[in-house]
Amino acid sequence: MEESKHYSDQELLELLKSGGGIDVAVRYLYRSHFDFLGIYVQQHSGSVQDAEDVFQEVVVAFIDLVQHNKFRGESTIKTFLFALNRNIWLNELKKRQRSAIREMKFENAKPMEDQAISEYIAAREGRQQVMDLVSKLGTTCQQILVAFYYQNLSMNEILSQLNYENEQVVRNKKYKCMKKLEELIAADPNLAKNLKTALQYE
Amino acid sequence: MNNEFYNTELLIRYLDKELSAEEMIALEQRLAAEQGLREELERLKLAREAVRLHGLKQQVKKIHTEMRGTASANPIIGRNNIRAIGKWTMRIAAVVVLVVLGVGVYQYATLSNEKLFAEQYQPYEMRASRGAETESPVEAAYKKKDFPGVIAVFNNVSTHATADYFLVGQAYLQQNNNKEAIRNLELANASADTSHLYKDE
Repeated sequence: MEESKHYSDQELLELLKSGGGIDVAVRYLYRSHFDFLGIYVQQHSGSVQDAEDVFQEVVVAFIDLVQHNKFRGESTIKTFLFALNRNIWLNELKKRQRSAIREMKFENAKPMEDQAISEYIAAREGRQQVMDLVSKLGTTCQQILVAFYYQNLSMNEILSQLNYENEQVVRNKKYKCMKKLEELIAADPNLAKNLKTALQYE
Repeated sequence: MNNEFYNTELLIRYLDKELSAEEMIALEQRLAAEQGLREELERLKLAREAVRLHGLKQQVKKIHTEMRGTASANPIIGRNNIRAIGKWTMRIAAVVVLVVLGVGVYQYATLSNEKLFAEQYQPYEMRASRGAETESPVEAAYKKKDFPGVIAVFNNVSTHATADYFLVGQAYLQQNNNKEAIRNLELANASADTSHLYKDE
């Protein structure tokens, strides 16, 4: 049973690298680490909602790093996730300029365990801009682009999900959506610079 | 189809690896020569990565919602309850401490000589002396608890024993004449023959 199965770090990394295993891997991450990492946030001035939001960001960041071979496996996944969780939460607190940060100066003094985490934190704001950018597109554009570039569906599969006449119409729509996104990036030179830092593309 | 859109389509097909070998070579030659085209390709790469990241976030969010929905007894919320119980325990403890402090402060604030006297004073009871040959009229009156009588008898006699001073002092106390009570008790205390007798009383 998937629900009770234990995955070794190596098995988990393989699942995350294979597109099809992400659902299973993410569920496993939730079952194994959500409780532990959530408690840390709550014990350091965070709410339950904060704990959930930070955990989602941790999972997204971890998968992204694994898929870009930035997770070098120098520590266990559990240790890495804990460090990522702590650094994201401290960065978030700093961003909010809450007084709680003063209580945790000792935490700030700790060096980042991993270069990947350090790079991630530096690019965190840019990543938020990435999320906002795609959300500016219409729902159909988001559906087509995510289906094609993230879910790796074929034009025929996308056609079966959306109400279009034929594949060519979907293809043209996809070009227009990409052009729109590219124009949004072109309109703000600083945004392009931030995105470059934030996205570890090839 | 205008030239700009043609270029964008060409670049997207290049990113999607849909160009033929000839088309790819031709485009790469153009990319080497045209900075504007190179910049557009960079932005399209960024756009593609942005979509990929957006998709990943959506997928994780969907699973998160699903997991939160099925996990009715969420561990984090469970621990929150534990923390809430801890908070309530601390609140109750604080209330108990405040009540105890309040009672202490009230008792201190309401403490007075009169109150202390009323609570602690016990009238002196004369003990029966085995083999006592005689007793003075003052003693006789005190035994009967005739306190005005004690004072009257005492005042009618010119010479007094230590016991008389002590007993009349007690009688004045019973009559709430504290000034006379103190004066006579001090005389009893100072009397040369009292030694230890009555001092404790």
